[in-house]
Amino acid sequence: MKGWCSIVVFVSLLLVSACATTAADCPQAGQAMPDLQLATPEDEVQRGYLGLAAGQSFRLSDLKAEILVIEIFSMYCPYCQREAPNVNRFHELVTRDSKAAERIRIFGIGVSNSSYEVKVFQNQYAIKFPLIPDPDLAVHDQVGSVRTPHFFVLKRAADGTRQVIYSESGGFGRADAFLQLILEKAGQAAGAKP
Amino acid sequence: MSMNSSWRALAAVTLVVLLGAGPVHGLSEQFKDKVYQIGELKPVDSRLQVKVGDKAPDFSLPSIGGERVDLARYRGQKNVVISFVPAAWTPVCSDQWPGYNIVKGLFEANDAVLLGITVDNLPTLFAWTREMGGLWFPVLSDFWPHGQVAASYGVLRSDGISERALFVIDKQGIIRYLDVHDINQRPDLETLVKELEKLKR
Repeated sequence: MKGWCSIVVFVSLLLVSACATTAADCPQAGQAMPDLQLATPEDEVQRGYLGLAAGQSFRLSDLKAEILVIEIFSMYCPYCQREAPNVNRFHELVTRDSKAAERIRIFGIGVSNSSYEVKVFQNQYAIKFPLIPDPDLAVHDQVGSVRTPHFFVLKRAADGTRQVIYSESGGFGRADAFLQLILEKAGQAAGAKP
Repeated sequence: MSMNSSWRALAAVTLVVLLGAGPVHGLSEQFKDKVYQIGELKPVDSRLQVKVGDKAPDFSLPSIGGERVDLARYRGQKNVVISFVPAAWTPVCSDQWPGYNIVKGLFEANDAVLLGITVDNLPTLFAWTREMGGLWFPVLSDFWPHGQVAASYGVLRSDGISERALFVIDKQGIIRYLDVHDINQRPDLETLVKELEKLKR
Protein backbone atom coordinates (compact mmCIF):
# COMPACT_ATOMS: atom_id res chain seq x y z
CA MET A 1 0.00 0.00 0.00
CA LYS A 2 2.86 2.29 0.91
CA GLY A 3 4.38 1.50 -2.51
CA TRP A 4 1.18 2.54 -4.26
CA CYS A 5 1.00 5.87 -2.42
CA SER A 6 4.51 6.81 -3.42
CA ILE A 7 3.73 5.83 -6.99
CA VAL A 8 0.58 7.95 -7.06
CA VAL A 9 2.56 10.93 -5.76
CA PHE A 10 5.38 10.35 -8.22
CA VAL A 11 3.04 9.97 -11.20
CA SER A 12 1.11 13.09 -10.20
CA LEU A 13 4.34 15.07 -10.07
CA LEU A 14 5.33 13.63 -13.42
CA LEU A 15 2.01 14.61 -15.01
CA VAL A 16 2.25 18.13 -13.61
CA SER A 17 5.77 18.56 -14.97
CA ALA A 18 4.70 17.07 -18.32
CA CYS A 19 1.85 19.60 -18.58
CA ALA A 20 4.27 22.39 -17.74
CA THR A 21 6.54 21.42 -20.62
CA THR A 22 3.80 20.53 -23.10
CA ALA A 23 3.65 22.85 -26.11
CA ALA A 24 1.67 26.01 -25.53
CA ASP A 25 -1.41 26.92 -27.55
CA CYS A 26 -0.90 28.99 -30.66
CA PRO A 27 -1.21 32.69 -29.77
CA GLN A 28 -4.25 34.15 -31.55
CA ALA A 29 -5.09 37.70 -32.61
CA GLY A 30 -5.90 39.76 -29.53
CA GLN A 31 -3.65 37.70 -27.26
CA ALA A 32 -0.19 38.49 -25.94
CA MET A 33 2.84 36.89 -27.59
CA PRO A 34 5.32 35.12 -25.30
CA ASP A 35 8.56 37.08 -25.03
CA LEU A 36 10.44 34.60 -27.22
CA GLN A 37 14.17 34.17 -26.84
CA LEU A 38 15.87 33.84 -30.22
CA ALA A 39 19.39 33.38 -31.56
CA THR A 40 21.01 36.68 -32.55
CA PRO A 41 21.87 36.73 -36.28
CA GLU A 42 25.60 36.39 -36.99
CA ASP A 43 25.29 38.68 -39.98
CA GLU A 44 25.93 42.33 -39.13
CA VAL A 45 23.47 43.68 -41.71
CA GLN A 46 20.70 41.46 -40.32
CA ARG A 47 21.52 42.56 -36.77
CA GLY A 48 21.46 46.19 -37.89
CA TYR A 49 18.06 45.68 -39.51
CA LEU A 50 16.65 44.35 -36.22
CA GLY A 51 18.54 46.98 -34.18
CA LEU A 52 20.52 44.40 -32.21
CA ALA A 53 24.05 44.36 -30.87
CA ALA A 54 26.25 41.29 -31.33
CA GLY A 55 25.50 38.53 -28.84
CA GLN A 56 24.18 35.05 -28.33
CA SER A 57 20.47 35.68 -28.10
CA PHE A 58 17.81 38.35 -27.85
CA ARG A 59 14.19 38.61 -26.78
CA LEU A 60 11.24 40.03 -28.68
CA SER A 61 11.09 42.76 -26.05
CA ASP A 62 14.58 43.88 -27.14
CA LEU A 63 13.22 44.87 -30.56
CA LYS A 64 12.17 48.48 -30.90
CA ALA A 65 10.09 48.23 -34.09
CA GLU A 66 6.37 48.94 -33.68
CA ILE A 67 5.25 46.03 -35.86
CA LEU A 68 6.90 42.61 -36.24
CA VAL A 69 6.02 40.19 -39.01
CA ILE A 70 7.30 36.71 -38.15
CA GLU A 71 7.20 33.75 -40.52
CA ILE A 72 7.45 30.34 -38.89
CA PHE A 73 8.94 28.21 -41.68
CA SER A 74 11.15 25.24 -42.49
CA MET A 75 13.64 24.75 -45.29
CA TYR A 76 12.03 21.32 -45.76
CA CYS A 77 8.48 22.63 -46.15
CA PRO A 78 7.25 22.68 -49.75
CA TYR A 79 4.57 25.25 -48.98
CA CYS A 80 7.20 27.60 -47.49
CA GLN A 81 9.39 27.10 -50.55
CA ARG A 82 6.51 28.00 -52.85
CA GLU A 83 5.58 30.97 -50.71
CA ALA A 84 9.13 32.36 -50.49
CA PRO A 85 8.93 34.64 -53.58
CA ASN A 86 5.68 36.12 -52.28
CA VAL A 87 7.21 36.83 -48.87
CA ASN A 88 10.13 38.47 -50.68
CA ARG A 89 7.61 40.60 -52.58
CA PHE A 90 6.07 41.65 -49.30
CA HIS A 91 9.49 42.56 -47.88
CA GLU A 92 10.25 44.56 -51.02
CA LEU A 93 6.94 46.45 -50.72
CA VAL A 94 7.66 47.34 -47.10
CA THR A 95 11.21 48.42 -47.95
CA ARG A 96 10.02 50.71 -50.73
CA ASP A 97 7.42 52.43 -48.53
CA SER A 98 9.51 54.62 -46.22
CA LYS A 99 6.78 54.97 -43.58
CA ALA A 100 6.08 51.24 -43.48
CA ALA A 101 9.81 50.49 -43.57
CA GLU A 102 10.28 52.50 -40.41
CA ARG A 103 7.45 50.77 -38.54
CA ILE A 104 7.80 47.14 -39.68
CA ARG A 105 10.50 44.51 -39.21
CA ILE A 106 10.22 41.10 -40.86
CA PHE A 107 12.04 37.92 -39.91
CA GLY A 108 11.67 34.16 -40.17
CA ILE A 109 12.14 31.39 -37.63
CA GLY A 110 13.29 28.09 -39.16
CA VAL A 111 11.78 25.34 -37.01
CA SER A 112 13.80 22.15 -36.69
CA ASN A 113 16.37 23.79 -39.00
CA SER A 114 20.08 24.13 -38.28
CA SER A 115 21.79 27.42 -39.09
CA TYR A 116 23.22 25.70 -42.21
CA GLU A 117 19.71 24.71 -43.34
CA VAL A 118 18.39 28.21 -42.72
CA LYS A 119 21.24 29.62 -44.84
CA VAL A 120 20.42 27.18 -47.65
CA PHE A 121 16.87 28.54 -47.68
CA GLN A 122 18.12 32.14 -47.49
CA ASN A 123 20.47 31.68 -50.47
CA GLN A 124 18.08 29.58 -52.53
CA TYR A 125 15.39 32.27 -52.50
CA ALA A 126 17.67 35.33 -52.14
CA ILE A 127 15.87 36.33 -48.94
CA LYS A 128 16.99 39.72 -47.62
CA PHE A 129 15.34 39.70 -44.18
CA PRO A 130 16.82 37.74 -41.24
CA LEU A 131 16.14 34.02 -40.81
CA ILE A 132 16.76 32.57 -37.38
CA PRO A 133 17.25 28.84 -36.72
CA ASP A 134 15.22 27.00 -34.07
CA PRO A 135 16.99 23.61 -34.26
CA ASP A 136 15.56 22.07 -31.10
CA LEU A 137 12.03 23.51 -31.56
CA ALA A 138 12.29 25.53 -28.35
CA VAL A 139 10.57 28.50 -30.03
CA HIS A 140 8.15 26.33 -32.01
CA ASP A 141 6.89 24.76 -28.76
CA GLN A 142 6.09 28.20 -27.36
CA VAL A 143 3.95 29.21 -30.32
CA GLY A 144 1.72 26.14 -30.36
CA SER A 145 3.83 23.95 -32.70
CA VAL A 146 2.06 25.56 -35.65
CA ARG A 147 2.25 24.08 -39.13
CA THR A 148 4.50 25.86 -41.59
CA PRO A 149 4.35 28.44 -42.93
CA HIS A 150 2.59 30.39 -40.18
CA PHE A 151 2.59 34.17 -40.03
CA PHE A 152 2.38 36.17 -36.85
CA VAL A 153 2.04 39.94 -36.88
CA LEU A 154 2.74 41.59 -33.54
CA LYS A 155 2.22 45.13 -32.39
CA ARG A 156 4.18 46.70 -29.59
CA ALA A 157 1.95 47.88 -26.75
CA ALA A 158 2.73 50.93 -24.61
CA ASP A 159 4.17 48.70 -21.86
CA GLY A 160 6.55 47.01 -24.33
CA THR A 161 4.63 43.72 -24.55
CA ARG A 162 3.72 42.31 -27.93
CA GLN A 163 0.09 41.87 -28.91
CA VAL A 164 -0.80 39.45 -31.69
CA ILE A 165 -2.80 41.21 -34.42
CA TYR A 166 -2.58 38.41 -37.02
CA SER A 167 -1.94 34.67 -36.63
CA GLU A 168 -2.62 32.36 -39.57
CA SER A 169 -1.17 29.17 -41.05
CA GLY A 170 -0.60 29.10 -44.79
CA GLY A 171 0.17 31.91 -47.20
CA PHE A 172 -1.08 35.45 -46.68
CA GLY A 173 -2.26 35.97 -50.26
CA ARG A 174 -1.38 39.14 -52.16
CA ALA A 175 1.56 41.02 -50.68
CA ASP A 176 0.01 44.49 -51.15
CA ALA A 177 -3.29 43.43 -49.56
CA PHE A 178 -1.39 41.88 -46.65
CA LEU A 179 0.53 45.10 -46.03
CA GLN A 180 -2.68 47.09 -46.09
CA LEU A 181 -4.33 44.63 -43.71
CA ILE A 182 -1.41 44.88 -41.29
CA LEU A 183 -1.45 48.68 -41.30
CA GLU A 184 -5.21 48.69 -40.69
CA LYS A 185 -4.98 46.18 -37.85
CA ALA A 186 -2.04 48.01 -36.29
CA GLY A 187 -4.08 51.21 -36.45
CA GLN A 188 -7.05 49.56 -34.77
CA ALA A 189 -4.84 48.04 -32.09
CA ALA A 190 -3.36 51.48 -31.45
CA GLY A 191 -6.89 52.93 -31.22
CA ALA A 192 -7.90 50.29 -28.71
CA LYS A 193 -5.01 51.20 -26.44
CA PRO A 194 -4.65 54.96 -26.46
CA MET B 1 0.58 -5.82 -5.53
CA SER B 2 4.28 -6.41 -5.16
CA MET B 3 6.78 -3.59 -5.24
CA ASN B 4 8.24 -5.10 -8.37
CA SER B 5 5.04 -4.95 -10.40
CA SER B 6 4.30 -1.48 -9.00
CA TRP B 7 7.56 -0.22 -10.41
CA ARG B 8 6.79 -1.88 -13.72
CA ALA B 9 3.47 -0.03 -13.80
CA LEU B 10 5.31 3.18 -12.95
CA ALA B 11 7.79 2.62 -15.75
CA ALA B 12 4.93 2.10 -18.21
CA VAL B 13 3.21 5.32 -17.13
CA THR B 14 6.50 7.22 -17.35
CA LEU B 15 7.00 5.98 -20.88
CA VAL B 16 3.51 7.04 -21.94
CA VAL B 17 4.01 10.51 -20.47
CA LEU B 18 7.39 10.94 -22.12
CA LEU B 19 6.17 9.70 -25.52
CA GLY B 20 3.26 12.08 -25.36
CA ALA B 21 5.67 15.00 -25.16
CA GLY B 22 4.79 16.25 -28.62
CA PRO B 23 6.23 16.40 -32.12
CA VAL B 24 9.97 16.44 -32.67
CA HIS B 25 9.83 18.22 -36.02
CA GLY B 26 7.84 20.88 -37.82
CA LEU B 27 5.15 19.91 -40.29
CA SER B 28 4.27 21.71 -43.49
CA GLU B 29 0.78 23.12 -43.93
CA GLN B 30 1.04 21.42 -47.34
CA PHE B 31 0.26 18.05 -45.76
CA LYS B 32 -2.46 19.35 -43.47
CA ASP B 33 -4.75 16.45 -42.49
CA LYS B 34 -3.14 14.25 -45.15
CA VAL B 35 -0.36 12.55 -43.24
CA TYR B 36 -0.87 9.51 -41.08
CA GLN B 37 0.37 10.05 -37.53
CA ILE B 38 2.53 7.05 -36.74
CA GLY B 39 3.66 8.29 -33.34
CA GLU B 40 7.10 7.71 -31.89
CA LEU B 41 8.78 4.51 -33.15
CA LYS B 42 11.73 2.46 -31.96
CA PRO B 43 14.69 4.50 -33.27
CA VAL B 44 16.31 1.61 -35.20
CA ASP B 45 14.80 -1.84 -35.79
CA SER B 46 17.08 -3.70 -38.19
CA ARG B 47 20.64 -5.00 -38.54
CA LEU B 48 22.96 -3.51 -41.14
CA GLN B 49 24.19 -5.94 -43.78
CA VAL B 50 26.86 -3.56 -45.13
CA LYS B 51 29.55 -1.27 -43.73
CA VAL B 52 31.68 1.62 -44.93
CA GLY B 53 34.25 0.27 -47.39
CA ASP B 54 31.95 -2.47 -48.74
CA LYS B 55 30.76 -2.60 -52.32
CA ALA B 56 27.16 -1.32 -52.37
CA PRO B 57 24.67 -4.10 -53.18
CA ASP B 58 23.40 -3.70 -56.75
CA PHE B 59 19.73 -3.27 -57.46
CA SER B 60 17.30 -2.52 -60.24
CA LEU B 61 14.04 -0.86 -59.22
CA PRO B 62 11.09 0.76 -61.00
CA SER B 63 10.81 4.53 -60.64
CA ILE B 64 7.78 6.81 -60.68
CA GLY B 65 9.18 8.28 -63.91
CA GLY B 66 8.42 4.93 -65.57
CA GLU B 67 11.97 3.66 -66.19
CA ARG B 68 13.91 1.13 -64.14
CA VAL B 69 16.96 2.48 -62.36
CA ASP B 70 20.03 0.26 -61.95
CA LEU B 71 22.64 1.30 -59.42
CA ALA B 72 25.33 -0.07 -61.76
CA ARG B 73 24.58 2.57 -64.37
CA TYR B 74 26.35 5.19 -62.23
CA ARG B 75 29.56 3.15 -61.86
CA GLY B 76 32.49 5.24 -63.06
CA GLN B 77 30.11 8.16 -63.74
CA LYS B 78 28.57 9.63 -60.59
CA ASN B 79 28.63 9.46 -56.84
CA VAL B 80 25.29 8.22 -55.55
CA VAL B 81 23.33 9.16 -52.45
CA ILE B 82 20.58 6.72 -51.53
CA SER B 83 17.91 8.08 -49.23
CA PHE B 84 15.70 5.39 -47.75
CA VAL B 85 12.67 6.85 -46.01
CA PRO B 86 10.25 4.69 -43.99
CA ALA B 87 6.90 5.30 -45.67
CA ALA B 88 4.89 7.69 -47.80
CA TRP B 89 2.36 9.96 -46.09
CA THR B 90 4.11 9.95 -42.72
CA PRO B 91 5.21 13.11 -40.89
CA VAL B 92 9.02 13.21 -40.93
CA CYS B 93 9.33 11.61 -44.39
CA SER B 94 6.95 14.15 -45.91
CA ASP B 95 9.42 16.78 -44.69
CA GLN B 96 12.72 15.24 -45.79
CA TRP B 97 12.68 14.97 -49.59
CA PRO B 98 11.16 18.43 -50.16
CA GLY B 99 14.31 19.77 -48.47
CA TYR B 100 16.54 17.84 -50.88
CA ASN B 101 14.37 19.19 -53.67
CA ILE B 102 15.83 22.71 -53.30
CA VAL B 103 19.49 21.63 -53.06
CA LYS B 104 19.96 19.97 -56.44
CA GLY B 105 22.96 22.28 -56.88
CA LEU B 106 24.69 20.88 -53.79
CA PHE B 107 24.45 17.35 -55.21
CA GLU B 108 25.59 18.47 -58.68
CA ALA B 109 28.51 20.43 -57.24
CA ASN B 110 29.70 17.15 -55.74
CA ASP B 111 29.08 15.14 -58.91
CA ALA B 112 26.39 13.16 -57.15
CA VAL B 113 22.95 11.88 -57.98
CA LEU B 114 20.26 11.28 -55.38
CA LEU B 115 18.00 8.23 -55.40
CA GLY B 116 14.99 8.17 -53.09
CA ILE B 117 13.68 4.73 -52.12
CA THR B 118 10.72 3.54 -50.07
CA VAL B 119 8.91 0.20 -49.81
CA ASP B 120 5.66 1.80 -51.02
CA ASN B 121 4.15 0.92 -54.39
CA LEU B 122 4.48 3.23 -57.40
CA PRO B 123 0.96 4.73 -57.40
CA THR B 124 1.36 5.73 -53.74
CA LEU B 125 4.78 7.24 -54.37
CA PHE B 126 3.44 9.06 -57.41
CA ALA B 127 0.57 10.66 -55.46
CA TRP B 128 2.75 11.50 -52.47
CA THR B 129 5.55 13.16 -54.43
CA ARG B 130 2.99 15.08 -56.50
CA GLU B 131 1.77 16.54 -53.22
CA MET B 132 5.33 17.76 -52.67
CA GLY B 133 5.12 19.57 -56.00
CA GLY B 134 7.29 17.00 -57.81
CA LEU B 135 10.92 16.09 -57.16
CA TRP B 136 13.99 16.44 -59.39
CA PHE B 137 15.53 13.11 -58.37
CA PRO B 138 14.38 9.56 -59.19
CA VAL B 139 12.01 8.01 -56.66
CA LEU B 140 12.19 4.22 -56.63
CA SER B 141 9.75 1.64 -55.36
CA ASP B 142 11.12 -1.28 -53.34
CA PHE B 143 7.61 -2.69 -53.03
CA TRP B 144 8.04 -6.10 -54.65
CA PRO B 145 9.59 -8.42 -53.72
CA HIS B 146 8.76 -6.44 -50.66
CA GLY B 147 11.69 -4.48 -49.27
CA GLN B 148 14.26 -6.65 -51.02
CA VAL B 149 16.73 -3.81 -51.60
CA ALA B 150 16.24 -2.42 -48.10
CA ALA B 151 16.86 -5.92 -46.73
CA SER B 152 20.05 -6.29 -48.79
CA TYR B 153 21.43 -3.14 -47.13
CA GLY B 154 20.07 -4.23 -43.76
CA VAL B 155 17.58 -1.41 -43.28
CA LEU B 156 14.26 -3.29 -43.47
CA ARG B 157 12.46 -3.08 -40.14
CA SER B 158 10.50 -5.91 -38.57
CA ASP B 159 7.16 -4.33 -39.52
CA GLY B 160 8.04 -4.10 -43.25
CA ILE B 161 8.89 -0.40 -43.53
CA SER B 162 12.47 0.73 -43.98
CA GLU B 163 14.75 2.73 -41.76
CA ARG B 164 15.42 6.40 -42.40
CA ALA B 165 18.89 5.78 -43.83
CA LEU B 166 21.45 7.51 -46.03
CA PHE B 167 24.18 5.79 -48.02
CA VAL B 168 26.89 7.68 -49.90
CA ILE B 169 28.41 5.53 -52.64
CA ASP B 170 31.43 6.67 -54.65
CA LYS B 171 32.03 6.27 -58.38
CA GLN B 172 33.70 2.91 -57.78
CA GLY B 173 30.51 1.66 -56.14
CA ILE B 174 32.01 1.64 -52.65
CA ILE B 175 29.99 2.77 -49.61
CA ARG B 176 31.85 5.76 -48.17
CA TYR B 177 29.33 6.90 -45.56
CA LEU B 178 26.16 5.55 -44.03
CA ASP B 179 23.71 6.82 -41.48
CA VAL B 180 20.89 4.65 -40.19
CA HIS B 181 19.19 7.54 -38.51
CA ASP B 182 16.74 7.57 -35.62
CA ILE B 183 13.55 6.99 -37.61
CA ASN B 184 11.78 9.75 -35.66
CA GLN B 185 14.26 12.45 -36.64
CA ARG B 186 15.35 14.06 -39.88
CA PRO B 187 19.07 13.77 -40.68
CA ASP B 188 20.97 17.06 -40.75
CA LEU B 189 21.69 18.29 -44.28
CA GLU B 190 25.09 19.78 -43.47
CA THR B 191 26.47 16.41 -42.36
CA LEU B 192 25.47 14.82 -45.66
CA VAL B 193 26.92 17.65 -47.75
CA LYS B 194 30.23 17.48 -45.83
CA GLU B 195 30.43 13.74 -46.53
CA LEU B 196 29.86 14.40 -50.23
CA GLU B 197 32.57 17.05 -50.24
CA LYS B 198 35.01 14.52 -48.76
CA LEU B 199 34.69 12.42 -51.94
CA LYS B 200 36.47 15.12 -53.93
CA ARG B 201 39.67 14.80 -51.94
